[in-house]
Amino acid sequence: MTLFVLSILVFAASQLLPGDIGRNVLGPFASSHDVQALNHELGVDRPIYVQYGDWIWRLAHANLGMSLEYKVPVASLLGPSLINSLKLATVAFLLVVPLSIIGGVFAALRRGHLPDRVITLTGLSLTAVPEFISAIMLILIFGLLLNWLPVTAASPPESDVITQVKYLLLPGMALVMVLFGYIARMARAGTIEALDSDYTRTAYLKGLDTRTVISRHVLRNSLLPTIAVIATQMGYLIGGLVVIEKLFNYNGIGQRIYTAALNKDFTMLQSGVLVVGLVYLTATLIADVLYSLLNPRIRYAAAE
Amino acid sequence: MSTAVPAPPAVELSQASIARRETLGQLARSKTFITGAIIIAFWVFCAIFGTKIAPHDPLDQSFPQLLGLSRTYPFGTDQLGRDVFSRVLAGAHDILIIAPLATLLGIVGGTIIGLVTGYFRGVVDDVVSRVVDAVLALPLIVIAVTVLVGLGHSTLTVIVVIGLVFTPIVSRTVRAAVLAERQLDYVAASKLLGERAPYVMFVEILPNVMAPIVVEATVRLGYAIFAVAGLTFLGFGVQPPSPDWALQIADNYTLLNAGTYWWTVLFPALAIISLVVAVNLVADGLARVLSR
Amino acid sequence: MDREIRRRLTDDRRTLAGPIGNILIDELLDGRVDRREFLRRASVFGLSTSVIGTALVAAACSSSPSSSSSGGKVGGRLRVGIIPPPAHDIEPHTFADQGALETGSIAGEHLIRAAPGLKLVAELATSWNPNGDASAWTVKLRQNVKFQTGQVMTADDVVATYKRLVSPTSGSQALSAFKHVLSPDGVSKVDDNTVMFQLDNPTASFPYLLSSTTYQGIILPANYLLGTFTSKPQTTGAFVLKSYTPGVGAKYDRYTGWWGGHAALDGVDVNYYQDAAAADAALLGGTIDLIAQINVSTDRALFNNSKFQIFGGRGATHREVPMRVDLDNPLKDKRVRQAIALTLDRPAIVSTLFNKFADVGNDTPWAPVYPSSVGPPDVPQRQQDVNKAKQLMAAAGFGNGFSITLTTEMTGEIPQLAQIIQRSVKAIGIDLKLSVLTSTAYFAGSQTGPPSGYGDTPWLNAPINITDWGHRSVPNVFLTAALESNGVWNAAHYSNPQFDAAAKGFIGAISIDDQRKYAKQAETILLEDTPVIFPYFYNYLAGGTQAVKGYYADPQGTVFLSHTSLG
Repeated sequence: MTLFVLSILVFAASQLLPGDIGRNVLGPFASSHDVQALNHELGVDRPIYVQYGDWIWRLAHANLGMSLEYKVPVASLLGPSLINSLKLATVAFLLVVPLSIIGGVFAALRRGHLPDRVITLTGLSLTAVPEFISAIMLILIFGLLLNWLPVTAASPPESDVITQVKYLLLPGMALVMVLFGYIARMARAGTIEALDSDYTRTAYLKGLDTRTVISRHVLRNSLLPTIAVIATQMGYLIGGLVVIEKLFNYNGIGQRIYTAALNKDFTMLQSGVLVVGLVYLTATLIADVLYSLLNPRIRYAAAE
Repeated sequence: MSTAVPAPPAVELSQASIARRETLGQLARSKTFITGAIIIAFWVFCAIFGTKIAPHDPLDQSFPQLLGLSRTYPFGTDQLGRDVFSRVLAGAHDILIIAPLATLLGIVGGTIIGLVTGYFRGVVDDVVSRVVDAVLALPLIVIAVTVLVGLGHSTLTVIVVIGLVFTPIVSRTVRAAVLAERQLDYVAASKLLGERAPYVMFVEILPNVMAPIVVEATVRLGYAIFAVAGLTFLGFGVQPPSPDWALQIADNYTLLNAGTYWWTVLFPALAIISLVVAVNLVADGLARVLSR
Repeated sequence: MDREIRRRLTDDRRTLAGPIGNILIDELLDGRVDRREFLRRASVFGLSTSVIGTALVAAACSSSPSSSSSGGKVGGRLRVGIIPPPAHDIEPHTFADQGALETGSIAGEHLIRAAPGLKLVAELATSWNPNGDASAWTVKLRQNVKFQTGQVMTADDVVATYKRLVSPTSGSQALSAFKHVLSPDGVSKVDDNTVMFQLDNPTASFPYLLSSTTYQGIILPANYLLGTFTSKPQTTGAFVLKSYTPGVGAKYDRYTGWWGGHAALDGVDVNYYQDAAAADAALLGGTIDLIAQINVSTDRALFNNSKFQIFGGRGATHREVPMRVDLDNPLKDKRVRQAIALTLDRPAIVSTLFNKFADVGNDTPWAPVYPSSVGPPDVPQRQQDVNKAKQLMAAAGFGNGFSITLTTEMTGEIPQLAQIIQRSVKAIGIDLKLSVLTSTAYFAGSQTGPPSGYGDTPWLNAPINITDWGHRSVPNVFLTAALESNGVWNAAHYSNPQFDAAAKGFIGAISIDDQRKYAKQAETILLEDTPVIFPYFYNYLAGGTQAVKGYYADPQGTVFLSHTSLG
């Protein structure tokens, strides 16, 4: 159902791109007759609902169509870009999740004291830095001044995994700066809730030591909101990194969609946005499953 | 409308005003809130009077190019020979018009939809919820760029796009609050007394869900500033020759590769960061006080 | 001049030089042109080397054949950064954007190569000769040229390529140069190694149009199928396009069957960048060796940096500020247009935006680099004069100023130029609003048909705008497309029969004196009418590491790497 609404939204948005697709393809000097002929051939002179039906029909057959501007199948370009985006997101997650959960739990355990203040304030400030600023700073400091890391995100072809990760570190760090504040805050709140809860108290009463209590109960509880945050950020992480991909010259799906919008390549745009939506929905689905696995209370709520 | 119940609202009202006074008192004691509010007040002041208090005209190009910091030019000068200090002071103007208006649009739209869906539930609720899910699936920047390419970019379009994307997100928050409220006795009482749905929603329920709406509004404002800055950086937001901060960064960040001229980017960057931090501080302070 | 030389020259004049060649020799002997300029003009008109040699000796100049030996290290792959990526598929006759033409030019070759100093060098053609009035040109082709498909290049391939380039229905972008000059029927095969171009109008500078200046003119086989440029290597150049990924990059390997021998580089790797800063960072960080085009205002990091070298030379690359002369607004009055032009402090603009890498413009397309340009003192240089501008505004009835929107594109330093103009005209009370579009949006839409005969594209219909123009070796396209009545890119909608006559005279003129005579007329008219402001002509620059040898930045933007090496 959401997917259906999503497809309508995507289709509607791409219809906003102005008018003459044939003109756009054939260039300014083409005669209006040729433009009309091409429009007819592409089927864009038909009623909108017919076009929509046709598009869905082709999508159902896993046919994303041809890119209007590049004249190659959309899938051949979106596929590698999606994989690149997933790689970058993975590196960012591997960096940010442990870092922010440790930070969040630590802050919760030292609630109200200096470490809590420092971590909360750092998170808040980092979240407040627009990504284009943090990316520029990272390139400048680690790439050009210190010369530690490559400034472009794309590694040379046939690089091994370690090299690829090395190339993705800087853009990954830019994402860490964006996400750290959120996740740490969520982890902190989750931990505090768990620490204050009855079962933690019971665990203590049963004579378990702090470390066991934290690792068994608290940590699991602090993970829950983290999963939720990550799932809701998935759309952004896969398709919304236009600025970061541009600054690090990375061929991610955000960049593809962005150029498709600029070039009015509407077949590419539609499919790209839909793919991002799909990834997001899949992520939320997985998050829901994980959530109910980790948290028995959810099951009761769902059964109600 | 029934005339039978003049008293209870009056009591509620006075209770509400007491509660409001308490809330304000708590806010005044909240360091986070006060710090944020002061910074925001400073930038609002600059947005209104920036060109008057600035030592130079922020658009004046007659100074030497790319000078470092000095007494005459505390933040140096840019590529076109403009005083960066004056530009930073005047740079709050556009973003402090666009971002709040976009937020306002999203809050108003989201509140109406949230009230309606939360109150009626049923099919409308289902459909709207699916649309919300779908909108949440798409990155704001992608939607915004697509629409701005399609319709051509103007300040109004930027406001409307961001506002429209915020609407479903806000509606979700409002709906959750309404769902909790509609279980309460006073709503049932109004219904029993035969009040019309719009009256119940906007006169009875709305005041009681204001707290989450206010918090949501400040959070959204932070996102709106982010979004406008990002769009401006890509060339779809504020137009030159405005001394807007994001525009200054977009114009000058290529200079950073040279390892010099950092002042052309650092100061506008700090200005944006201070504004977003301030909005977040206010949101944090509000959330703590109002959710008690 | 001794008798022997005089006799040989007389012989050559009668038998080899032809009517145009004789004009050139006269110019040299009378001292109207120097040796360099004579050589340049001789290359344009295809004078044979023996005639050139005799003429130079006769003029008591020493002749030295210009042979540039590369002699660089053999091997290595050159990593080139190109900004921005091609916006469309790579199809030579439709090349319009920088990314596409640069990508195509690494593999493709032309009949003639435009070389530094506006000289022409034989590439796939070996000679080109005009008839008496330069209305028909005979081009001899190089023999033993093999396409990368293995087939031998013949006149049929050249004819097919040029018929496509000048066809009004093929979507060719080369029409901007060939419209009213060459039609499909004018291209014909004489024999397997000779092609004849019968022109619509006499054009003395036609060889320039056959050169890489018309970057769409990459010679392809007669059986070339549209849409196969990137999937099947079929050019003649030193490098074979091995793979191409839209928006990401392209890979080329050395073509072992190249007629020119053995290219020094093993191959070329192209990386596309959306953003100048990202490309700079890549060059500074050692990810690439060369950026095909750089700009003082966006790439300051590469200037005055001993690790890098700047390639480039003077050219006619420029920005135009057309003002619609036909709308019911103040710009209709030429005094207002003059006033706007008078507010600009051109030397200051050049130093702000280009450091020293640009020439000041004089509101005509005759860039200082052209030998045919007249300029000061015969045509005075326009200088900033705000008082005069105010008087003109008052005389036109706009003493209190007015408000108007300037539309332009986000390309290079243009947004900054827009802000400078915005600030400059404020002095005469004009409130200039800016609308800076993406390049795609700026050039979108149709260019033919209603409402005004220029379709609906912003760049030909906005009341005042700023547009980027590439270099041309001769100003012809600037005249025919942008300024002549009904020119295809006449954004000012300017129309003046006297100017049209002068421009037509210029294009057909063969002797340099005639060219200058017509140029002076046209320059004077343009300075008076001011339909378009030409604020500056800037140098086309490329930036690379010190290891890059034997490269020059072609002002037209083609990336010519056949003689380039790494170290």
